[in-house]
Amino acid sequence: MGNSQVEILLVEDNPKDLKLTLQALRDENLGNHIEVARDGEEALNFVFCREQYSGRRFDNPARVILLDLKLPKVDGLQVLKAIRDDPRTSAIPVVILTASREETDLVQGYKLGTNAYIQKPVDFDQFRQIVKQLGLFWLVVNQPPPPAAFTGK
Amino acid sequence: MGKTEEILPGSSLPDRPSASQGENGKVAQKNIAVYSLIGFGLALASLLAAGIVQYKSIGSLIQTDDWVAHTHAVIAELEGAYSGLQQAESGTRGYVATGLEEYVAMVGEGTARADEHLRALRALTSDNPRQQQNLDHLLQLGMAKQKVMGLLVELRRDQGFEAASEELRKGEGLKLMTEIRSFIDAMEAQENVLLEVRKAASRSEARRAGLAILFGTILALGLTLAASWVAHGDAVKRRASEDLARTASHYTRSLIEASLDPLVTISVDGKITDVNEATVQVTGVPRDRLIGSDFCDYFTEPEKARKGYQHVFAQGSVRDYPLAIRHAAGQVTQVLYNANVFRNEAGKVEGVFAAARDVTERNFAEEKLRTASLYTRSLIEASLDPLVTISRDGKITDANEAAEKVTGVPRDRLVGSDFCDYFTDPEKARKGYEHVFAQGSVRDYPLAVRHATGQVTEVLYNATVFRNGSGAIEGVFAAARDVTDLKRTQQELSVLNLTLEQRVEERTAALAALNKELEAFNYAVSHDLRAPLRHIDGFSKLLLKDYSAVLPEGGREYVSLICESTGEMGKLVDDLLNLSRVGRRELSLQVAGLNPIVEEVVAELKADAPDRTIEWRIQRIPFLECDPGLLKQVFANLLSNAVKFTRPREQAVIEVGATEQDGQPVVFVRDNGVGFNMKYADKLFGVFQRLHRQEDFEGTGVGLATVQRIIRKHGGKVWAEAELNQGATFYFTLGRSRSTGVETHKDVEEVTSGK
Repeated sequence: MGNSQVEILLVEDNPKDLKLTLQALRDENLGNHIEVARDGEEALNFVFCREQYSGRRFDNPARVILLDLKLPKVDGLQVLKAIRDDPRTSAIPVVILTASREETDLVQGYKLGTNAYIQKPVDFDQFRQIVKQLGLFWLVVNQPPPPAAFTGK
Repeated sequence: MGKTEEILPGSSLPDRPSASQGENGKVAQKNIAVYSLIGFGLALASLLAAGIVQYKSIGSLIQTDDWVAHTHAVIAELEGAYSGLQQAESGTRGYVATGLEEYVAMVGEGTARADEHLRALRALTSDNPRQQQNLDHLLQLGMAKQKVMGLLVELRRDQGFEAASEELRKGEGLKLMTEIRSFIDAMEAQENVLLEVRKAASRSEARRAGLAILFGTILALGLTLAASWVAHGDAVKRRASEDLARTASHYTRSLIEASLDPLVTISVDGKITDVNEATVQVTGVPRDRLIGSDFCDYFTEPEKARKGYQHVFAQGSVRDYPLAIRHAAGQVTQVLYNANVFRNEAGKVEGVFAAARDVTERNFAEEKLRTASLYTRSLIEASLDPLVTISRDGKITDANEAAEKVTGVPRDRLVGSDFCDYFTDPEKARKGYEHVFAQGSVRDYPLAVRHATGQVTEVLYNATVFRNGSGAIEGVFAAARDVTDLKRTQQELSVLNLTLEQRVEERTAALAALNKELEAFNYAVSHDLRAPLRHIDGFSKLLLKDYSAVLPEGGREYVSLICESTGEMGKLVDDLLNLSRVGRRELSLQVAGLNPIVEEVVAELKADAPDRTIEWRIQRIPFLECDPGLLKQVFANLLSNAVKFTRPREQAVIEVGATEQDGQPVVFVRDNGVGFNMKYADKLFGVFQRLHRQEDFEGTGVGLATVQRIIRKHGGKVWAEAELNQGATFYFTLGRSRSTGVETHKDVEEVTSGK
């Protein structure tokens, strides 16, 4: 795992969800530069260039993080908080992609600085639509933060 | 007659020969003349004497007339007095019987009349010391009678009918009345006798005058007349006294008959010699059969009856001798006999006069009193409250069993001891009963009774004075209520109150914890239940997409059905989550116009069903205080239902509006859809309750439950009216909310639009 360009960090613990999400991304031709973290700790390791990701640099983060909330070890909101609390990572776009529509999650998510909050629909066709729009928006339409946003200064 | 002739000769015989000689013989002419002269002289003298006699006689006659008038006046006054007393008596009885004050006036009037007549009598008889004396006695009797009547009136007024009639039954008044009557009779008789004597005197004088005038020839005739007159006078006199006797006897008889008490006279051998009507009544045997029969035959105890009259013959009288008379029909009357011997003129005992007094009623009353008293006593004893009576000096005069128990002192020692001795605070106890004597009663006076063993019982005393027959306070009746338990309960209650707050906090915390748990559960459901659905749907669709070529037509259909089911399940989970969320959600109330909300929902529904033809009739709805977010859910559910159930209608009509009920705004949503049978109306708002088949009308059966939960959260209510195939109307109020009265949409039309 070098410092290659990662377009999407997908944080998802459930293998079936993972499979479906990856399939949807692949179908929309967005699956080429995807890194997967299977729990909160792994996600933080990636973001903070630790452990197996120690070779990565802060100024080359994922273009967008798709973050599930219910995660083993460190849950999604804690991951989000850690990202926003550190000046080196706080600018990274984070989209919460979760099954939960609980108000507290929405409130917490936004307060902690998520850039979007998406509830996964049951209908796979709808999901595919959402994934397509997400990819299009964050990877094509949206202007990402420049490297200077990740210097920690 | 003979007697008269014997009396008269001495004075009249000398006149008889001279009268016959004057008519016969010359020889004695001179003598005759002399005799004549003498006779004439005598005649003259006689005439003169006769004249004088006549004058005197006429005077005497006039005087006699006066005396007659006087006697009549006296009798009239006597009768007047009696009649006055009678009137008073009637008034008294009337008052006793009815209690009407008019009768008291009658008593007063009667007595006044009697007094007036008695005063007149006093004047009339001023010349007669004996009658004056009689009058004194009569006055005494009259006063006694007035006193008795006064007492009766008073009794009736103060103590009522029973007491007065009891007094009346004693017969004091009747006895006096009888006495007065007989006394008046005696006085009248005396007056009559006096009159007769005077009349006799006056008439004899008149006759003597006549004799004097008819001196000579009529002398014999006169003598005869005088003799016959004397004889006649005697007869008249005798007849008058016989009349008097008859009247008196008649009067006595009616008195006897009028008596309500059975009266009999008994001969020495125990045979009944006379009876009154009351005896006939009480025995049920006719008078003619009673008389001559054995007195003892009519009693339940003949031997006792015999002993009774034998006692009277031996001792002269008997008082209140108890016997029981048996009526021919078997009915028994309890009586008390009062009897006296009566004697003939020679003083020999002729028989017994016996009067019975019916005491059945009195016995019954006594029995009743005894029963009532026993009953009262057992009530007192049965009381769980200690009861005592206290005399003025604070001594216990009576106590019940409960009083023994609470003090641990036997009754015989309690009675006579000092009331205050049994309390922890004797001075307070004394003040308590003194207060009752002074004020008449006391309520809930707190004291503590000390048991002989030292144990203390907290009590509240309730006491009142009680009075004797004449109304004077005799003592205090005091009842104690054991409040030990009450006090303990109060203490426990205050401890409970102290801990209540803490318990409430604990309970609230527990509830909060439970709520948290529920939230966690919902979170888990929302997250975890939906995940597998998502997977099923996802992989099914991937299967269709990627492997449709290798799937036969039937297999593809199955997979489609799987997707459909997961969709339904997903909707169900979402609805349930929403329902639970509504329950937990805090209302954020604001005054909001409902029309914009309705329009928003309608717009969404139109977008969802572009192929439907629906006429929307949306009236103006007042501004209401509500949670607009939740109200939107309400309209979304109701209006989507309306859209759904009007699907079979070519021209669907859905109406939203507001009316008023009991001053409250009522919002309604009406459609012309398939409706439902009202007998299922109660199921309408239950979770998972559906009134239509899934293939006819899809749905989870959660929508209306959510509507109800939201409306109830607002303090309102929701209900529906419908008829099968005639459409349905759903109504709701927002009880907690008030119409703001602000007229919005004043100029706003009824929003009506098709499709």
